[in-house]
Amino acid sequence: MSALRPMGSERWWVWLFLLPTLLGLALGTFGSIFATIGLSFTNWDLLTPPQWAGVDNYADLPAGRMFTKAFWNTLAFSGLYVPLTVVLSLVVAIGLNRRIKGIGWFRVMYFLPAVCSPTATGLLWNWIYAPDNGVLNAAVTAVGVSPVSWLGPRMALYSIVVVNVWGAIGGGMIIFLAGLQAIPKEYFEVTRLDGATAWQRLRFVTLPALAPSLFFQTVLTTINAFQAFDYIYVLTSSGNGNSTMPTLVFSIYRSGFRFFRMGDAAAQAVVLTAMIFALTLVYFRLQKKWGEA
Amino acid sequence: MKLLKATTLALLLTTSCAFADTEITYQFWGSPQEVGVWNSVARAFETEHPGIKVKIEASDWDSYWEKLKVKVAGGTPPDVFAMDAPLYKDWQSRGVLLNLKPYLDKEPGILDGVYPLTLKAYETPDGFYGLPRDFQTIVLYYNKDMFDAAGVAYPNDGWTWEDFRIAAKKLTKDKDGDGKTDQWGFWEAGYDMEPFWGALVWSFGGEVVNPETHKTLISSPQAMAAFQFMSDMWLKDKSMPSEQQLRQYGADGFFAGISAMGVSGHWSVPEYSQVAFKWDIAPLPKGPAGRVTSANSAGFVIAKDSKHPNEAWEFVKYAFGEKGQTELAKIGLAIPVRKSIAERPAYLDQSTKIDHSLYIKALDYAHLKPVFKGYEEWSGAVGDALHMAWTGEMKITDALAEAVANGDEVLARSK
Amino acid sequence: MAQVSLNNIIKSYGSSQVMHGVTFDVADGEFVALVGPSGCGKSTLLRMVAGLEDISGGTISIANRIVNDVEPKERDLAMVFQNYALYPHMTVRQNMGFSLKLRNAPKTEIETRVAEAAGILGLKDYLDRLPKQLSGGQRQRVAMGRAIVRQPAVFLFDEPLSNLDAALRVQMRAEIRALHDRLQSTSIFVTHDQVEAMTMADRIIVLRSGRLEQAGAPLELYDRPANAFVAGFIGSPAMNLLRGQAVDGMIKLTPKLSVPLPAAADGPVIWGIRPEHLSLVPAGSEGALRVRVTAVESTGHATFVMGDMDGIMITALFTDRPPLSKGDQIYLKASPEKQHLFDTTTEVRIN
Repeated sequence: MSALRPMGSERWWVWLFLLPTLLGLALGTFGSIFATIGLSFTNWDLLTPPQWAGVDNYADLPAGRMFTKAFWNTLAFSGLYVPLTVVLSLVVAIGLNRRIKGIGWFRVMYFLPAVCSPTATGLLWNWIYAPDNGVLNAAVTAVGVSPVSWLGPRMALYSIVVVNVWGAIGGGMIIFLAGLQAIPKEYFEVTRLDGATAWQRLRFVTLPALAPSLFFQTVLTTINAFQAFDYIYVLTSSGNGNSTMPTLVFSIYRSGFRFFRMGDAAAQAVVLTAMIFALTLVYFRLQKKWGEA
Repeated sequence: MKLLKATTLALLLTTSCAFADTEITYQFWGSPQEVGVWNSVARAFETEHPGIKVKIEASDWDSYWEKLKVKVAGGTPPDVFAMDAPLYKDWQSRGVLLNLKPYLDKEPGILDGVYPLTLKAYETPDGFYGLPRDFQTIVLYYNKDMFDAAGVAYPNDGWTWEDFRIAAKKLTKDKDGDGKTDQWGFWEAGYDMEPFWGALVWSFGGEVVNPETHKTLISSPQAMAAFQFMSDMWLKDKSMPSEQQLRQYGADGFFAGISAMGVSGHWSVPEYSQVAFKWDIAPLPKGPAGRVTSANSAGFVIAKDSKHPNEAWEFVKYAFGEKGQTELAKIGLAIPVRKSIAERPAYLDQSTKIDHSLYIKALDYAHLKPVFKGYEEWSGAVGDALHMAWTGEMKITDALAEAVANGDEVLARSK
Repeated sequence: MAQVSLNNIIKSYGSSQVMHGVTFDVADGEFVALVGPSGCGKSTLLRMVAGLEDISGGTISIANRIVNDVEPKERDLAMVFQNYALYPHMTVRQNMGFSLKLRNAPKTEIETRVAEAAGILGLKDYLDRLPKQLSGGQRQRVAMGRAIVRQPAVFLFDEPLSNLDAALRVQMRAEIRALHDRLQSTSIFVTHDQVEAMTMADRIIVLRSGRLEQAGAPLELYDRPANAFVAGFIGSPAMNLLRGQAVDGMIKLTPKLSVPLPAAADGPVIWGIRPEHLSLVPAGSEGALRVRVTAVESTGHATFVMGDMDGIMITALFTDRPPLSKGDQIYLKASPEKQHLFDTTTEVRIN
C-alpha cells in the first residue's frame, strides 16, 4: 500500500489527472445537489422565474397529504425492504457458496431478476397478484382461504416489498458471494479444528469477514429502497398518475413534472436525500464500532 | 431519470435543429398514424406557403408534457404545440403563450362556423391564446353481442341512469361458472371527471367545481347522490370491475371485451373498430336533472417565445381552416371544430359505421369540462381521494369530504 | 500416547489417484518433517491427518485410535497454517483464547492458558492488538500461541514459515524447535524447503507424487539417500547426478570420460557426488576429472564452481577460496567413500 502512495512532486500530477473527474463531480453531482437545495426555497413552476419562498415549501410538507402518505409509505417500505434484502441475499449467497454440480445454474436463477426489465417482470407479478385469474389467489383459494386483493390498499405494501426484495436478491447475492469467496478457507478449517458449530462459524468467521460487504450492501440497499420506483410504478400506478402505494419518488415526480411545483418537489427531494444521508451516517458509525469490536 | 432523459433530448433537439430560414415546429401528443395525417397537412400547407417548412413532432401523452415543460422552460419552445383544454390555463396564466388577438382581428369571420362551446375554453378577457383543434363529447358504448346474449334491450334515447344500472346488473355474469365474475355491465376508472363522473354529477343536478371561488362542489346533496349511485354500482351491485380486476385484462374494459358498456369520447372509435364483437353507441342516459354530457377539446397554441410567430400563425390558420380540418377529420379520433366539416361526409362517413352525428348532437346537452389553472393537480387530488371510495377503503361520504378538502387546498394554492 | 500412524493411505479424485499407499509412523513426542516438491501430496497428507480432507483408502490412527471417521475437533490436534488464519477482527488475546471459548472453557482457565502461551512466545505486550497491527513474525507467534493454548496431543504445521523473510525464517525455525522440545508433543511439519526439514526435524519423510520416497533422520538421508530423487532433493547445492555405463569397474560418463565404479554394477547407472565432496587436485592426479570452469559464485563462506566436463555439467563447493575464474582449467577428484550409485531405471541405490 504505502509504496503506492504518491510522494512529493508526484502529488501534483495526481491532482492534475484527477482534476477533470473532480470538476465533473463538483459541477454535476454537487452542482445539482446545491441547485436542488436552492430551488427548494423557491416557488418555481418551470415556466416563470422562481420566486423566493423561504422555508414555506418545507413548512407545508407535513400538511401535504400526498407527501405525508408517500413519506410513511417510503419509511415502511424501506424498513421492510432493507433488512429482508440484506438478510435474504446473504442467506442465498451462503447457500450457493459451495462447489456442487449445477451451482452456476442456481446462481444464474437468483441473478436473473436483476437483469430482466422491471416492466417485463412487473407484468409477471401483475399476473401473480391478479385478483381473479392470479396464480397466488389460485393457490390461496385452493387451500380454502378467501382470495386476497394483493395490490389493494391493505396488502400492497407487503406485495411490493416481496417483488422488490425478489428483484434485489440477485445483486446482493453477487456482492456477498464475492465477499464469501474472498475469505481464505483456512479460517473455516481453523474453526473446524476448534470445533465450532455452524452458527459459531457464521457468527465469528463469516459475518466479521463480510462486514465490509454487509456495510456496502446495506448502504446500497437503503439508497435503492428510498429511490425504488420501477416495480412500484408497474404494479401500483393508477389511471391518474398516482399509485396505490405512492412513495417519495412518486410524489416528487408528480409534484414537479405534473403539477408545476418544482420548489415543492425540490424540498421533498432534499428531505429524501437527507434521510438517505442520515441513515448512511448511522451505518458508518455502526461499521466503525463493529469493525473495531 | 425521466428529467434527465427529457433534458438531454431537449438539448439534442435544440442543438441539432437546422436553421432553415423559416422552419417552424409543431409538437403534439399522438400516434404514428396521426403523424402521417399531420405530415400531409403540413405538406399541403407548404405548397400553399412557399418558404415555410413545418416540422412535425409527436410523443405519447406523458412524455409530451415533460418534454414541453423542459423545452418551454429552457426558452426553446416549439412554435406551435397542442394543448388539452383543461390544462390551457396552466400555460396561459404563466405567460408562455402568444395572444392571438392581433392575428384574429385581421381575419374577420375566421371564428364563424366554429362550435361556440369549443371556443369558450380558450377565451380570456384579453383575447384568445389558443384555438380549438378538435373536440370530444362523451357517449355510451355498448357491446351488442353481450346485450343479445343476456336478452337485454339495447340502450335508447329514453334510458335513465336507473335503466342503465339495471341493465348493467343483468349484464354482469360469471360466464365460465368458476365462481368469479368475468363479465361486467360497465367499466370505469373513476379518477378524472371525464369521461364519467362529471357528466353523472351534472345530470343529477350537481356541480363539480367553481374555479373563481376556489371551491370544489362535489359534496352537494345532488352530487352526493350521483356518487352514491356510482359507488352502489361498484361496491353493491358489483357490476363494475375493481381496478385490480380490470388490470387483469388491460386498461380498457370495453375494448378487452369484459364489459358490456363503457363511456368514452370519439377518440375510442379507431381502437374499438378493431374488436371482434359488434358494438354501437347511444347518448348518455338521463339523470334526475336531464341528460348531460361533458365536452372537451384539444387546441393549438403558439409559444410566446416563437421566433416565427407570423409563420406559426399561418400554419394554425390553415389547420384551423376548412382545408386543414377536412384533412384532420381523416384521423378519425376527434370531431372537427367547424360545423361545415363536422356535418358533412368528411366526418360523418367514416369507415366505422356508427352514427357519428351523435357526438355532435351531444353538444346540445354538453357541459364544458372545466378549464382553470391547476386543473391537473386538482384532478389528481380529487381522484386520489375518490379512489379510496372505489376500493372500499373509505365510505363514499368520507372520501368526498376528503376530495373536497384536498381539491380546495389545491385551488387555494393555484390562485 | 500420541503416536500418529498412517497405514497405506490412498487418495483419489474421481478416477485419478494422487496418493498411492503411504505408510509411516510418527512416534510420541517426535518432530517429523514432510518434504517434497510442490504437488507431492505433503499438504494433502497433513490435512488428512487433521481430518480436513477425506481419505480414499488406508487408516490413520492417532494415539492408537483409528480416526478415519473422527471429526477434526475430536482428534486432539492443532494446526498452524501458512497464512496463519488469524481472525482479523479479534485481538491477539481473543484469537488465542477462541478455541477454548468455543469449548466453553471457564474464563479464568482461558486467561491463564493464554497468559502462559503469551509468556512462552513473548507476546505479553501485544495481547490487545489486532493481527493487522503485528509484524509477520509476531503473527506467526500468535498462530503458534493459538495452537499451544489448546494443549493438543499433536501439532500440525503447514508451511508456517513460507510467508516470512529469510532472516526471520531462520529465527522462527529455532523457536519452533525450541518450543517443541519444551512441550514434548508430537509434531508434523510440512515444508518444501529441505533446509527447514534438515534443521528442525528428528526425522524427515520425503514424498514425491503421492509416494513415500524415504523416511529417516536428516543426516541419514543426506549420507545415504535411498534413491536418486532423495539424493537430488536433500542437500544444497544439489548432488551431481551423472548418467553413465558401468563397464569393467568403471563408469563411462562420456566416450572420453570415465570414473571408477564405487560398487559392483553393470550396465546403465547414475553416479552421484555432492559438490562438497569434490576437491581440487593438481593436473595428472590419479582419477582426476578435467573441468573447464563456466561460472564461479561465492557467498563468502563457500565458493560454488560450475564447470563443463566434456559436455557434462558439474558443480563443486569449496569452503576455502580457490582463485578461479571463468575459463580456467581445473582438476577435480571425488572422495571415494562419499560416492553414490543408483540404478538408472529404478533410481534405487546400489552401493
